[in-house]
Amino acid sequence: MKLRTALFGATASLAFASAAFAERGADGNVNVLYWQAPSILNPYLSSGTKDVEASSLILEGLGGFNEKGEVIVRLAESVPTVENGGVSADLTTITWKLQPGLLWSDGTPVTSADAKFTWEYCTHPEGGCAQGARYEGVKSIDTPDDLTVVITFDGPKPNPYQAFVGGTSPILQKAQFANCLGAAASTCTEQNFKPIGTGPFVVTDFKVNDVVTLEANPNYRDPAKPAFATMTLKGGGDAQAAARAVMETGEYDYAWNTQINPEMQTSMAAGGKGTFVNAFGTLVERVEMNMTDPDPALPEGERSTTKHPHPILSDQNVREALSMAIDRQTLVDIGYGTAGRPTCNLVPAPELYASDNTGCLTQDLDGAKAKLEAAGWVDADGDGIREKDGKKLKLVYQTSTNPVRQDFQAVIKSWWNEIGVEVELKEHRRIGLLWRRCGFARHLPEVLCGRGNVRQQLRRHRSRALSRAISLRQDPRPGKPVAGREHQPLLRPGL
Amino acid sequence: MTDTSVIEAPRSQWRDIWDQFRTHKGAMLGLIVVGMLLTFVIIGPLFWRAEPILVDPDAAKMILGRNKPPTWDHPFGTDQVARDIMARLMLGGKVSLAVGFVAMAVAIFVGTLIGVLAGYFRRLDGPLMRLTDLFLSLPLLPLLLVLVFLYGQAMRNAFGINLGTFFIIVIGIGLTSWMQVARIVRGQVLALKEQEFVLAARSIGTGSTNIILRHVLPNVVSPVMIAATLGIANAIITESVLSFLGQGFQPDFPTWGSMLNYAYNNQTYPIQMIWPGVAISLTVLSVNYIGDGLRDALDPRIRGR
Amino acid sequence: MLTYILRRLLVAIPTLILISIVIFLLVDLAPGSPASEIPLTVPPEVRARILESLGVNEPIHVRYLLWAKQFFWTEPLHGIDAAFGTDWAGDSQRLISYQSRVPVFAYIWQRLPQTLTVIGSAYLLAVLIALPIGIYSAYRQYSWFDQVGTFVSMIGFSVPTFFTGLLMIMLFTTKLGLFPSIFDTNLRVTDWSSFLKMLHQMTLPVVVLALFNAAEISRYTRSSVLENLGLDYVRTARAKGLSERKVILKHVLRNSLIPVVTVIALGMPTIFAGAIVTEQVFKINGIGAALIGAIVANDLPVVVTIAFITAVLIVFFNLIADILYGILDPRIRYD
Repeated sequence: MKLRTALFGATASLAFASAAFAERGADGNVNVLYWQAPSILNPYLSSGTKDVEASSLILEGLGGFNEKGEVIVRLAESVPTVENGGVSADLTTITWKLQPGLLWSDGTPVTSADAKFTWEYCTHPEGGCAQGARYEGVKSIDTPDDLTVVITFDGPKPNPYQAFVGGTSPILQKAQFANCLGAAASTCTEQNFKPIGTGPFVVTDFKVNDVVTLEANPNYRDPAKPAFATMTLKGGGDAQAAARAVMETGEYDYAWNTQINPEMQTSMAAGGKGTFVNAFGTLVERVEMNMTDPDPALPEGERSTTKHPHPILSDQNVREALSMAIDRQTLVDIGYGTAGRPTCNLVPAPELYASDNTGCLTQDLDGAKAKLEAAGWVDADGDGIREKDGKKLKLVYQTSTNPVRQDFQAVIKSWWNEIGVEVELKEHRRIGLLWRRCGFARHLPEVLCGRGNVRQQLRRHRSRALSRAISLRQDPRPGKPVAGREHQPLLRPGL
Repeated sequence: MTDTSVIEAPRSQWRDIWDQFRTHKGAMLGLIVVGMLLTFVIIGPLFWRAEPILVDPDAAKMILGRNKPPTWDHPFGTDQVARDIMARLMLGGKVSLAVGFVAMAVAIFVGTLIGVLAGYFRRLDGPLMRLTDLFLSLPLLPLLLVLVFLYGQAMRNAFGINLGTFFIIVIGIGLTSWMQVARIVRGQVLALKEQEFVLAARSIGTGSTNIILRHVLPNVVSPVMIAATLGIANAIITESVLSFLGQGFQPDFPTWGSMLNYAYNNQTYPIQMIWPGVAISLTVLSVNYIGDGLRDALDPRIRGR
Repeated sequence: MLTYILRRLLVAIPTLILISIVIFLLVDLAPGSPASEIPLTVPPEVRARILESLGVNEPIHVRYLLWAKQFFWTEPLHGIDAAFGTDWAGDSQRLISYQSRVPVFAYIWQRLPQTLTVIGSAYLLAVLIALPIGIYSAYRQYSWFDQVGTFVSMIGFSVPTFFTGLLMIMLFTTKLGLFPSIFDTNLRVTDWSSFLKMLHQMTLPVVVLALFNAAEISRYTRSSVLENLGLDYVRTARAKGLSERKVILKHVLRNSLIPVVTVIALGMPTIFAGAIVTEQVFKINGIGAALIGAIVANDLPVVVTIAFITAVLIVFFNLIADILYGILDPRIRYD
């Protein structure tokens, strides 16, 4: 999660970096198109990428991540580490120092109390905070003085850069949100739509699910930034229209997430009005396999838990054969063109974290068949479907509604048919469920929405042209049931 | 005079109607087009055996065969994953037309039932017509979307993916378009009820069920037929709207509406969008013309002039 | 007349209450209870707490009454407060969208202008085109003008708007680049140039919608005028030696436009509900787009509210149509 956030932070700042020597506001207006329109500007109440990214223009944390996945400073003076004493040797506390003289966009000073308040805001049991995971394990936050934030964890924390780091856990202004604690969080429309922040921009007008109009923050800490005096963040439409509005008609300066098929990219790029920027990041299109048995006949509470291993997919040979049957390069060619790359890793970037697996890159249908054969999955009754111990090799493969995904589904299905696996395709169109869940969240404990990063992940997997690669995730951590994660492409055994 | 001049055999009413219908050029053309479309989607697949849903597992062949313009091998070209568009149009047409006919049948059934009950039984008239008015006041497309969206999954679980979607769409469209039929039928029944032949039937002790089935229903056939024709057109459009908005069948399984939606996402090849769009438009246009012709033919004021 | 209107209004109230119940139940009783969406890892006691907080355990009529109170009482109060600066509503709970936590009515208010301008002007244009065409086609029945007009209106009536819309976009926006591809909802008409800009971005959706509506209205007009032309009073008027112009404009038109006016009035609610499809095709963030977005995002308060407001408008314009009928046609008595 953290890494992805980092990349978005980096992309956002990229736009402003180019004009580093200009005066604030020198470049006039910039039009940005997000075809998924922002619906709220408080990232604590939404886990949608579109919302988190839009609010990252206004709200900032103490630190952020750069494109390499390293922690960088935002409001803090320096990044606390064990070496400089900022992180205690036993990894149970981290001490951040705010830069002196920081102002909110309304002119009042930023203090450590704001950070403490933000923690209270997000961990309030009735608040329904969508980013509760960022504050997991935080025992207490102390503010010895106005510029010092000491976070104490309830145990050693190998990665202490969670709270207040990155776009998903920015600092809110205490004065503005004081009345929005707990159940009141969702009724604070004004605050959620026009948060006072420390970021480069301030909201002037917000039309829900439509347009955000912003202007440069007069109190931004770097007097030369932002280079744009005003910004229009428009939402709505679809990826194609977004790409066209930048690449062909020139109505917009930047568009996000222009995931369109390769042919169209080529023809649009040929127009010369713009360029597609593909940053290969951490987003991996993947097939997840359910390691637990989702048989509806099992009692609730046992279904899809580690108590019952999956009758088919718990056999590693099957998983390997399914992976071998997939031609990742073909999928890239159909769906992404130059915007994608085949990979065998779940974490393909940054280089720091990626390993050099290449074994999956060549398709091997015969090898897959042989592997199944050797593992005892044979087609004894000649119906084209393998079986073993009376279990037919039948799977349900579901994915979210998205044209590229649907193509992938169809293609992968035919490969798996080829090696004797019957596949039923399903399409999960209820992308909205998490909204519903988190929508009710003002009453909900963190359990629902806090871990509800599913949507966020989904958004990213399925939608960014910035970083695309194909891999087959073979082994989701056993013990974590995938039930409830219906938004990710996953496999269930046929019933 | 004992002149045995040839007396023309009495012409049946349907013969008259057909003769009148034949003079309506648009309607005849429409009938021919619909006939051809039906042949295309029903008989066509028997001869054209390309695979409409599954993708060629041979990756290399699939990649080479994508987005091809029309050729002899693929008269309508191929789509994004090299499936034959003609085969998909046939299957899609079968589904779209089936939705049209079945949804229309549901609407006609419900509408006729309610219309007859309201017209024939005085006591039911008030409540049933209130109900009809209520339905007429509902925002239908939004409700249909909600219905298909919220109840679709349950139906898919119960009947399987495609059949479940089919049922929910057909029932949804049927339940949101019976009101006109009910009103027409009620009006007709009210008038018929007072006529002598119904009185006569009643006076010899015929039961209500029999009177309705034998005497009333046959006389409301013609207005219902007109409504049915327009209902088919309406249902086909509604299904394609649902599919277009992503609430209908899944893209893997073709209908004309979902093919259009799918092709819209691949605009580099506009031709892929034209086919299903033209198919829908042509069908609806023909059906509407047939409806026009029927109206003229069934209107006794015009017939025989 | 007045008593008639009053009576109709009184009848409208139970109808609307029934409709609101139908819409509420339809949405609320949908299968897939909120419980089924809670991950199975959540321990049972927490699950129970969650369900309770969702209000699922409240009986359905309590939930309905709560919604009705918010819709019919709290929201109007907030509306009055906003308009006159009063503080009647206090901090009572408004209807809040699940997705964006904005009061539903504020959301609709933001979406209203673009829907009204685009769909409204399309409707107006359709009426302006359809009436003369319909009248002239009927007057010159079977002339080439009539033949062409009938054919075109049949096509406009039969070809779905999403197809014509997509064709227009492909041709005029993608290929020729004549029109913007995204509707700018921030554009305010303040002067001549911004007005032209508005016209420019409205052109395609307005043309597509107007074509469709005009087809329907002109068919009605034509058949209504045709019916009247064959009536005795027209022959009488002609026999009196009135000029054709007078016969058509004074006598025929007056009588034949009565049903047309009601048809036009009945079509009005669609202006609000936004032609859902057209807004989707042309990327206009109006009410129709909000509805689709809300359905996909399971934003039930928004869905229910938009659906219900549309129902209110339908009932209202039904009433208007009936009253207009009475005013235009003195033969109709309301007793």
